[in-house]
Amino acid sequence: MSQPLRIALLVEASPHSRQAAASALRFARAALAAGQRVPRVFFFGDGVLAARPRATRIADEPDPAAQWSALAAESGVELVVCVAAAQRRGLDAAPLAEGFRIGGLGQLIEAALDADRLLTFAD
Amino acid sequence: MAEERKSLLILCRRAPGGSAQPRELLDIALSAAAFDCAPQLLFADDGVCQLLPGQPFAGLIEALPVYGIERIFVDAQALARRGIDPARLLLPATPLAAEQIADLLEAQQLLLGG
Repeated sequence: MSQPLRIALLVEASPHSRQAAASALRFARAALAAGQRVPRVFFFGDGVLAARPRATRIADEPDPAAQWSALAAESGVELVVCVAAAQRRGLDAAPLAEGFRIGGLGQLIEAALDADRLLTFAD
Repeated sequence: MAEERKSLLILCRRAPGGSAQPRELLDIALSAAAFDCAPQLLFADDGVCQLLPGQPFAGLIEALPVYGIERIFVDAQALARRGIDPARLLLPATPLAAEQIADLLEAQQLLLGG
């Protein structure tokens, strides 16, 4: 196989109302399954809501935070949540879901510069 | 970093009101500028309204050159369709025709926004 691509992801879509948020997760899984590398996923805008854990499990509905947490645990993908976007949405008041951590926009820029591709999931 | 910086264009296509996206996209631009990425901005579609005086973050738009963001472009056709006189804009953005926009996008290594 040729050299794996390093693919950075930027998730701006809300996990509660946008298909793009679910697409980002599916893309990350598919890219890893295909032997590519996804070193970092950066959550920005309403995308940061993916880091908020659910207190209650809702039957027959996906739990985006738990899905991302599982992906991070399995594959070591770094899940970085923009501090400013998180503060605006009150996410700094409680612990983030497993595997997520707070970071700055500099980490998005760094990921974009280091990666072979940057993909945005916004709508 | 020793290697040459990648070229970065941020595409601002949404009106200043209605969502936080336009303002947050500018945060990315400022951050990129802080990392010496020399980001370029292209205002197109409803995004051209971000360049009008009186919009909620007009002050930030005016200050972009102070933060090292000097290559600012605007879709000339989007201005014309909305009856906006380029002389009214908050800062002197370079107007581009459709073919020039295609060339600009083609030349980038990184594109953000939309």
